[in-house]
Amino acid sequence: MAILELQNVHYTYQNPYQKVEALKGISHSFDTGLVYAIAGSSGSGKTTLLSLMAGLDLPTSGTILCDGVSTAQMKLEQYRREKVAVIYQSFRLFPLLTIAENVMYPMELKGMSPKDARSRAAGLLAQVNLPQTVFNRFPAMLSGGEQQRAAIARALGMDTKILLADEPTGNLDTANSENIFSILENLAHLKGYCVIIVTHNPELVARADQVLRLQDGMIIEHRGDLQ
Amino acid sequence: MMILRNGIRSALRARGRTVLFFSLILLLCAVLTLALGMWSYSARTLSDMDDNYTSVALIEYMGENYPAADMADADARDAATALNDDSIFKIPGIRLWERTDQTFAAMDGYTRTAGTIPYEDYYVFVSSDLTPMYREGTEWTNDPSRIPENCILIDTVTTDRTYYASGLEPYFVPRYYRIDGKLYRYTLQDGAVTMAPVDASQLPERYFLIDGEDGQYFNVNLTGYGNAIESEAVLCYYNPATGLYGVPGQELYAYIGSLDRILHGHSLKEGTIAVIETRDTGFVAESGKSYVFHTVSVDTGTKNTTLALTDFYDGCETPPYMEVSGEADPQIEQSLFYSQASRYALANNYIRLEASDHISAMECFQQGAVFLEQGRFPEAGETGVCVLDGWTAEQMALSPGDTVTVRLLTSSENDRFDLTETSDSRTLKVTGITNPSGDYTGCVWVSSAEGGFKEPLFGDLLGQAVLENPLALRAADALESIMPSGVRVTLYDQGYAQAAQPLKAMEAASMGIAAACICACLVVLFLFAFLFVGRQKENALILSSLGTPVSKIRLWLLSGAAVIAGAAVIIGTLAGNLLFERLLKAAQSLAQNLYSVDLRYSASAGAVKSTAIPTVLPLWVKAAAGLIVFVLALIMCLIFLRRMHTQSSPKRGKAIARVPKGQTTSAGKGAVRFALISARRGGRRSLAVPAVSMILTLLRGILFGSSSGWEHQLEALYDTSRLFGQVTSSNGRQSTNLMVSAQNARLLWESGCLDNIAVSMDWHYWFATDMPYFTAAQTDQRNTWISDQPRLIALNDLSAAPDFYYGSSPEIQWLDGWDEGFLAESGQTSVLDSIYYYYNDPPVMQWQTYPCLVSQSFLESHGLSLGDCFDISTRLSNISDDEKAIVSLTFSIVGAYAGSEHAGEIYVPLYFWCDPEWITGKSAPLAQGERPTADFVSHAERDAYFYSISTFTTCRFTLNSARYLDSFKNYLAQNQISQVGVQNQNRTTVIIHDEAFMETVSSLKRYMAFGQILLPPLCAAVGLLGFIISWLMVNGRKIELAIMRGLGTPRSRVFFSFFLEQGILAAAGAIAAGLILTLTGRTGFGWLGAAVFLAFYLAGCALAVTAVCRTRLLRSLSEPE
Repeated sequence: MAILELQNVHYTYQNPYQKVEALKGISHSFDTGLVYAIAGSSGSGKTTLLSLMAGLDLPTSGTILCDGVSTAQMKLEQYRREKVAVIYQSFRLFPLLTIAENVMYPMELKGMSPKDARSRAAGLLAQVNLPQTVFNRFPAMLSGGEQQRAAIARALGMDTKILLADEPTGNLDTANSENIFSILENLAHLKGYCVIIVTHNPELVARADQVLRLQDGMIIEHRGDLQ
Repeated sequence: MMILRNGIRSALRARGRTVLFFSLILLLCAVLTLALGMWSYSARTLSDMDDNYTSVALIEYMGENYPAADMADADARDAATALNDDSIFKIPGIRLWERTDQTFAAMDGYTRTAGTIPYEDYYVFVSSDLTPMYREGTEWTNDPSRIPENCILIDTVTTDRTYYASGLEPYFVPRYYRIDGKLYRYTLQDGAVTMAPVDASQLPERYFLIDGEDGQYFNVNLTGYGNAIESEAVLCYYNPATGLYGVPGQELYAYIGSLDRILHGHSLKEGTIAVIETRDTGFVAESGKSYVFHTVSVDTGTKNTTLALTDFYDGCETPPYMEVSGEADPQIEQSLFYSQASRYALANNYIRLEASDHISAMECFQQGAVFLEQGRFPEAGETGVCVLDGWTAEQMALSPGDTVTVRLLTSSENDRFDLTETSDSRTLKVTGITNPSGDYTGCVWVSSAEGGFKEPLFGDLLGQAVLENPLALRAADALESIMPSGVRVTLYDQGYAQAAQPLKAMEAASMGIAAACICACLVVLFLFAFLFVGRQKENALILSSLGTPVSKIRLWLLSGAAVIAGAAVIIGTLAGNLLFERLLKAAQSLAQNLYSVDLRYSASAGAVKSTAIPTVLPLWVKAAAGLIVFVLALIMCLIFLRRMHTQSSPKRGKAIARVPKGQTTSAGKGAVRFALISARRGGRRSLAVPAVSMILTLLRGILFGSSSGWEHQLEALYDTSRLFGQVTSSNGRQSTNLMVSAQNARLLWESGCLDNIAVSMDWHYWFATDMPYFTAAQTDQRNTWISDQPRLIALNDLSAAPDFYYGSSPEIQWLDGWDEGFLAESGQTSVLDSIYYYYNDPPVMQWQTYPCLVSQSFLESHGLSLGDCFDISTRLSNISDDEKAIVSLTFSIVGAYAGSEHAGEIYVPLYFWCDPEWITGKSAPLAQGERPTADFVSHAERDAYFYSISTFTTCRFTLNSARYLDSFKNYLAQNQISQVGVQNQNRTTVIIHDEAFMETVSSLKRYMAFGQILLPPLCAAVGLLGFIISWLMVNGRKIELAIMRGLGTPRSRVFFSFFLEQGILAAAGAIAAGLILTLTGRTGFGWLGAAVFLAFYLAGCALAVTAVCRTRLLRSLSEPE
């Protein structure tokens, strides 16, 4: 059974002046152990799709199933806390928390004691190749690559099998992009995560296990597992 | 143009923001317009009132004869000498101090027809062909055979009696007294009484015995003298000086004659026929002869003009009649008759010349008795000019610009109307004429430069101070404190205090509102500028990137803000001005009801001046609020523009942002952990909130503290103030010699608001031996003599004693076992019980010895000491004016006081006349509306009758508590009791001496009003500020909030993470402020202020966090940072 399944997902943005159908009947299944790339031009609906998968909102129609359960039947807060982890292009780290504290946050949210969370955070940060010297620094004191790695560490700390990344390398240079992608790739292939990346980066698209190309809210191309 | 258009458009298109701030600015501008308008109106009206109202303090000596305008009073002169001009001038609020400066003058052609005309009743005239007039009465004869058979012959000198009875020899009946069991022979010779001790064995067969203990008298062995000892006995007289017998018969008492030539007479014309009473002058006219007479007009109740011969003056040897050859007899001009007639004419037609540098502030003008009808007042220091009363001007056909010549007269030391001409005369140009007034006819007012008359002081008015209106009350108090004993200060403020009260309350309130409004304006305009200019950095960057010049960028940003602020200001100002009139009326009524103090019956309220003072606000005042708000808005915008420019300028080599050093912590848990971490690491943000919190808490705490302090002060003032009041004359100046009915005194007591009420009534008394002999015809002389005697005063408290009314309580030496309490004792035998003894059970006369209080000098002059008894006579004029009311009384001295001007007064308990319970008992002797009977036959009826006719000469009272003041005033008003200057149905005028109390209450209430007005907006402002600050703080961190939610943090935890952070920061500031307030002594209010601030701030914070949490998560997380 797919860990995440989209069934005819529609999403419409609406305001008094206009109505934009961002997603028009998207259906797809995502499995663990694979890296998925969602590509498409600007305005194609890829970020909207990722947000729906991240549980930031519910589809206007259609269903998103996680482990066979519809997100509409779950508490979205709980879904976000327990089922998915998201990595944003602009990292979205708490500016007043240190890198370690940022990573500790989701663990503490799940009831882990700060002490335990701290030691686990140190392990996760090491796992994403961040040196110990940056643990006590604030995000603003780190480079973009380091911040993104910290964001990945925080995502890992959430203990979910689905890892969503929105343009994770969008603000990074080539070396850092490569590094980040490698981490994500390893997480999918070695740790069994379902990694879904929204990206413009053709190199990332090329290295993904599966690619969904969107246009005008519809999947226009689906490339299968290159493995 | 394009820049302007787009700038305005882009500002207006942020609709929510525009509407919010447009509304806020409009509202604040309207409120500020109203507040400033009100403030300006109050201040201007108070200033106009200051010009229109005149407050004066009259300094008067409250002598025994007060008020007596032209009486020579040595005590008043002593008091005037004791006044210290320098001390008076030093009192703040005294604008002018002048001693009474007036004299009499003569003006050719002026005849006085109104006011005091001292010799109006005196006539000096020549009359001839006098026809005698007889009546039944005492005929004086040298023939002893005319003495009737049954009579009592009274020696007019010794008052000894000889009894004549039919068939018996005349028998002289000597008079004996029994005092302390001993007998004394009473004799009166050459005006001196001798009391020679005698043995009982020495008593003659027949005698008259008076018991000195209880006044009982016994006729011993007079039986057989028939009706001679009955009350119907014929009384005859023997005058040893003339050897004449006064027997029943035809008494020649007057002549009828015509007034052939009038040397002095005020209203009768020559040729008038008049009855000329001879009285006891012994004048007997011879037929066909002419006489010149000195007479006084008497009212006989008949149509005839009656003139009675009268002495020229006391001790004058010249008889008031003189035979002359005819009306043209030259010796008339040489006689006393002629010179007296001239003196009377001069005295009767006097002109009163008064000098002052502030004539319009003189009592008659200040109180509105007279006012200027034409022309102007002389300026201070102006000489040769005067204001003339309208009546005189009319009589002498004078108008402004005319000239009058007055010849100054001088009075003798002791008689104001004993006038002689001086060589000093003044020619004065009339600059103004008053309305005609009967009370002020023959008056000329000049400036002080024309005055300095050096006349001795007559009357009670020692001087007058003109006061600054707002300081009048304090100045009057200060004056009172330096006045010599017996001198009283009366403040007349024309109702300034009463009229100014609501205006002052309005002024304070509007100041408070304006201050609060300006504070709110600063906050709102700061946010307005921040949002409309400060946060337009993006637009500025775009404009800049498009090569737009800096000035145009500024114009772009300013134009929108200026249009919004300008439009709001214009509409707000217009709305404020349109509402002003209505609000003014409402505010006046509110201030009148809520914040101004009740000055009814208060000594601080003079008669209310009815002049309405229209105050029109100038345009600049109406526009001031708008200008202030608009200029403030522009300044704020310019500050943000400058800041934006400074920030966007590249600074080479400088770090853009500083980052704090980090330290991962494991402290805390959940929302608290996040809140603590954020609060600790928030940098400036974490400092701003506690700082604002601390400042606002301090402000609020101080305001709370002050407000509560004022309330406590007010409470303490009510608890500690002892207010007293009194019945007074209608002008509030006289508090003695009044006529306060017992019913009205009781009416005051029945208010239930009084702690005590002190009343007094008095009679003149004399020692029996002191009274000279007056014949039956000398009633007036005797009455005058009696009225010159010292007083016997019955009272229930020494504070009611006229002598101590305006001075301090006397030092009293008491007989052992006695104190002042005896004055108020009840249930004792009164003089009424003694007089109306036949109603007593057992039916015997119970004359008793009354305890009394006298002066030390009384003791010394009469050779008495404490515990001694003495007898006096008095006429209880409230029973009757005739002989029946003359009683002989015995008093026992129980106390002696020192230091009083009227050392002859005797103070006796009120029960001497009536039981004090008539006033303060459970029920009145006479029920309200019931009519008493003069033919009483029981004690109850007697008490009811005398209760109905008893009047007290003084009445003062003390309130139970200052808290009763309002209810007491309401009670007085309900019972239609008059107040000074306002006559009601009940003419008894009451004044309450609550000036200082009212002034303090009024000040405290003004402060409290200020606080009451300021507190609600301040609470609202703090709440708003809490919301705005929290909103700004939280909104600036909405990404963090979104991240939290994105990570699946429950809403409650998100809420508490931010709410607690704000709470911790605000609490830190509030606690610091609370500590500061506690350390500075505002214990309760520090923590109360902190708690209230926190409550309002956190409420605002909760709203803000909730509002930010409502933002769509998807959008928040998708937005670039």
